[in-house]
Amino acid sequence: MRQGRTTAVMILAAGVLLASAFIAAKSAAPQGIPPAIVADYVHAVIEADRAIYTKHVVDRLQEKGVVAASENWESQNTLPLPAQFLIDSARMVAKKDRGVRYRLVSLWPIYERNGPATDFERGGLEAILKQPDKTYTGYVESGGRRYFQAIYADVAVAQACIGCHNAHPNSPRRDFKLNDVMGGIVITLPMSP
Amino acid sequence: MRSRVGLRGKLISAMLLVGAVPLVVGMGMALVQGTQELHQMAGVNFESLAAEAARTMDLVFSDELTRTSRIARAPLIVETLEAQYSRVRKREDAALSSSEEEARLQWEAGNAKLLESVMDNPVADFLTQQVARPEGETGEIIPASARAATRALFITDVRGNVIASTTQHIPYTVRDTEWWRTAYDNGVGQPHIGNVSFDSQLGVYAFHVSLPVMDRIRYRAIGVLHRVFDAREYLAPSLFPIRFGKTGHVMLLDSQGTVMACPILPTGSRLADASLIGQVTTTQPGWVKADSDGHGGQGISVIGFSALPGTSHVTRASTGTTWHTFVWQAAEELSAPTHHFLGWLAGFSLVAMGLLGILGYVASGRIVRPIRHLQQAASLIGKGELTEPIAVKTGDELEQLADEMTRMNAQLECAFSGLTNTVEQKTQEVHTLQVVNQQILQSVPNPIILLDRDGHVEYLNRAAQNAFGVAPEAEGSRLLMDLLHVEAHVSQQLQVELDEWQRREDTTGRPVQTLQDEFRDPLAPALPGDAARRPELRLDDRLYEYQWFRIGTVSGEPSRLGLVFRDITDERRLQEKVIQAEKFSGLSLLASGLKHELNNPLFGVMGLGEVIAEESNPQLIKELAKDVVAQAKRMADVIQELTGQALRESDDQQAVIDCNELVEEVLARLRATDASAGVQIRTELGRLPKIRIRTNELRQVLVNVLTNAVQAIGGNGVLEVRTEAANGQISIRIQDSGCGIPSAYLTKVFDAFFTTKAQGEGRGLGLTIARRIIESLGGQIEIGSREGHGSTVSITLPVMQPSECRRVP
Repeated sequence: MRQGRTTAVMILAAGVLLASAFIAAKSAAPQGIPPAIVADYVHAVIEADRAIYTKHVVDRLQEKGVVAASENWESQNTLPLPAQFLIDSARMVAKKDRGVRYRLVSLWPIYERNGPATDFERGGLEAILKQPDKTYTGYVESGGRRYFQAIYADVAVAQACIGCHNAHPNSPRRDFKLNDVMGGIVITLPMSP
Repeated sequence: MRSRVGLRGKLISAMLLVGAVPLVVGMGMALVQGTQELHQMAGVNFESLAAEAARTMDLVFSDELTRTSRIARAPLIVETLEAQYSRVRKREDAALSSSEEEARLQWEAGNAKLLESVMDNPVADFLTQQVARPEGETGEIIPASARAATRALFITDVRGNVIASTTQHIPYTVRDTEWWRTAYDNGVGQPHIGNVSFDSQLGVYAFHVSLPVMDRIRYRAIGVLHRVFDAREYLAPSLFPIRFGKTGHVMLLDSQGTVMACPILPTGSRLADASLIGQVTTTQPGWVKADSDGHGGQGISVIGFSALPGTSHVTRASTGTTWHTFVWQAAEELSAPTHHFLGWLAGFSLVAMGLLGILGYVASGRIVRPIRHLQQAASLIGKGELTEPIAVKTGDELEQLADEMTRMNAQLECAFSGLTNTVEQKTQEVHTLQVVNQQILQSVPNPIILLDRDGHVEYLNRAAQNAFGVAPEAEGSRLLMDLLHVEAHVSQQLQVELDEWQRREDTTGRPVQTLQDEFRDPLAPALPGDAARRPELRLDDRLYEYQWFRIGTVSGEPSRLGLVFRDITDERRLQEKVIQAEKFSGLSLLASGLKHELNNPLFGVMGLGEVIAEESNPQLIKELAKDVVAQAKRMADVIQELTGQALRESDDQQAVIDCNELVEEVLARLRATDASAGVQIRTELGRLPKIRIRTNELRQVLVNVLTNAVQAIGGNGVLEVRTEAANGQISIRIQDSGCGIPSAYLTKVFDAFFTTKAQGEGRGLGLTIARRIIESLGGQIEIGSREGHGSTVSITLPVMQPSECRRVP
């Protein structure tokens, strides 16, 4: 099982590299890998990283009573929440300024900034709520440029996810259950350099 | 009187002490423990209050961030900034820089057109509405206090230039400020909450909340929404209502110690005590007992504190600082209940002490009264005046004591009467003893002198008074030497002896008392062996023997010395006469011996004469004549000896001689006799001091002893004479290898007329006379012998002869 996952991660990591190569080479060769495939690659990596962090770091240390995860992890000397792990990773990717961006969005965000920013996002979130298995994709334009966006359903895979969202004073919705769609991961790819 | 007051006072003070000490200790412990517990309780309360306040403030800030981020996500603003971003991206940096610089200058110069473009555009209007309208975009009410506390609300683009603002009191370009750079975060965007600092343009202590405006699709920061709050005004409604007591309050400060809001301290000031900052700005809530209160006051104070966990998460990422609540109450107010309680306690204690004092007074009175009674009774017993039984009826040990004392008094009276009788009787006995003593001493014919320790005469008996011519009443305190009129050297001798006796006692601290000293009757004759040692002295025309003796005293006191005398004048005179008589008796014996000695040769001469008369042979007559001559010579020798002795007897003068010369002289004469023909005479004469002595007497002694020795040898043998001086004495030792004396006779050899010789050979007086003479010279003569091996006669003579005062003229 683990072996299979590791292999998958490696394949997907290679995929991300290939996607990068594809984006870099697109001007020279417009006929490349479709952006939806690239977004799948990226999403696989993101999800794998967060899954590893959640299961092998947060859950494990929490079960053993070594250290818990909490929102104010810096002042309380705890681990960042898996969501924070993802958001902060996205910030680091953004800092690299390679064009590709991703973020967590939800219809019930604890912080306003994580709510849908556009109608496309809102529509996508509503769509994946109904069909979590189907990725919501589309092209959007901003500042005269075209971007490909893919929205993947983000499911409450761990008790920690729903526990926090159901208890947080800022949370607009507090009746999440396991395997509920809590929001989505939006991956944005520029269609031109 | 004083002792009565003392006992009562002691009892009362003891009771007070018993009451006061536990009270004071208890109060002290209560104060310490109470203060500690109060601090503990206050600390825990303050801690929870601080944590509660921190949570409240976290919510306030969280709400504020939510509301502000809602503004930042307003489509008007996002769209405007997206357009601005696209515009800016297309322009060259250089061109941008110059136009921005120009705009900045115009802004600072107050260019009306620029001001209008910034403050009077749809976005600015929207912003103004946000702070002016009581309802937000979504219908939520922005609290009036928050709206009023907002001093500035403005938006900057990706270049950090203002594009819309509610006020002109802001800089045009903010890209160099920390809050803009943190919020923009190189396009990534990050919420920023700044520290409280003085904003000179707005003229207040303010803090910034800056939120990035994100591009909806590219999701990058395309501008920043800034909101500037008057810190005190914003925080006061949330913080200041939390009050307890008169001084208890909550304040907010950052981890650098800057006060953000406090009902007492001005915003922007710093905590006076820097050491306190570290203690209260920890990540975990807690409380401390600090030496200062952070409000300028000194003294122990209890402070509760807690970090704002949510807000600090943002501020740490923004500025590195964290925000904390600080709960404090003035130390005086905190400890007021304890002091109040102690005040009451002290009051009650005083009342209790007063009661104790009164109780003590009453109780001690009950104890002291019978004791006083007993004391008076004891005083009467001491004087022997108590006649009545002691009347103490307390029914306790004191009554028993009174009974015991009454009984004791009765027994004491009995004992005292018996004792008085005994003392009288003993006194009488002592007196009688003294009288008897006195009478004995007075009736003793020997003079007796008693001396005190200093050598002063203490007592003289009648004989002494007579002998020394002292009037009975003139005993006085005279020295012994002043009393006895003796020659200087005798007086000196006496003083030496007195000193010796006293010294013997002094060196050891107690008298050295031999058996002799202790028990000897001073009047008894001298013990054998020291007969000649008893000293003598001459007073006027009398000769006395004297003897020191020690008088025992009551233990502890030094013993005294006494001196007893015996008049031996007559005795000595008689002794001399006996010796003289002995000598005459010796002459008569000599005459009888002479007759015997001369008769034989005389008969021989007569016989020879008859033979010669009838003999005709001339040859034979010649021979017979020779025999006659020989017999005559023998007679002449006998006569010579007799006449020589007689001559010597007449010469009885003292002379200073060397004894060795005398020994040589006697030996020379001995060698001349036939009897010593086979005797080998050896002499070993040591060096002797000259002594004053009656030469003839000593010579006679030597002749007698040596003659005895030669006779004992009776032919061939060895005669040894040795002399030596040692220990102030001269000793002459005469040893023969003769027949010796049977041990049975050894004790008798000095007796008069004891002899083992044949008639005419010895008269049995030789050794008797020798002993008399030697003893009269102050010496000793001893004889030792082994039968068949010879005899040894030892003569010792003192070098310092007391002979001057010995003989009666």
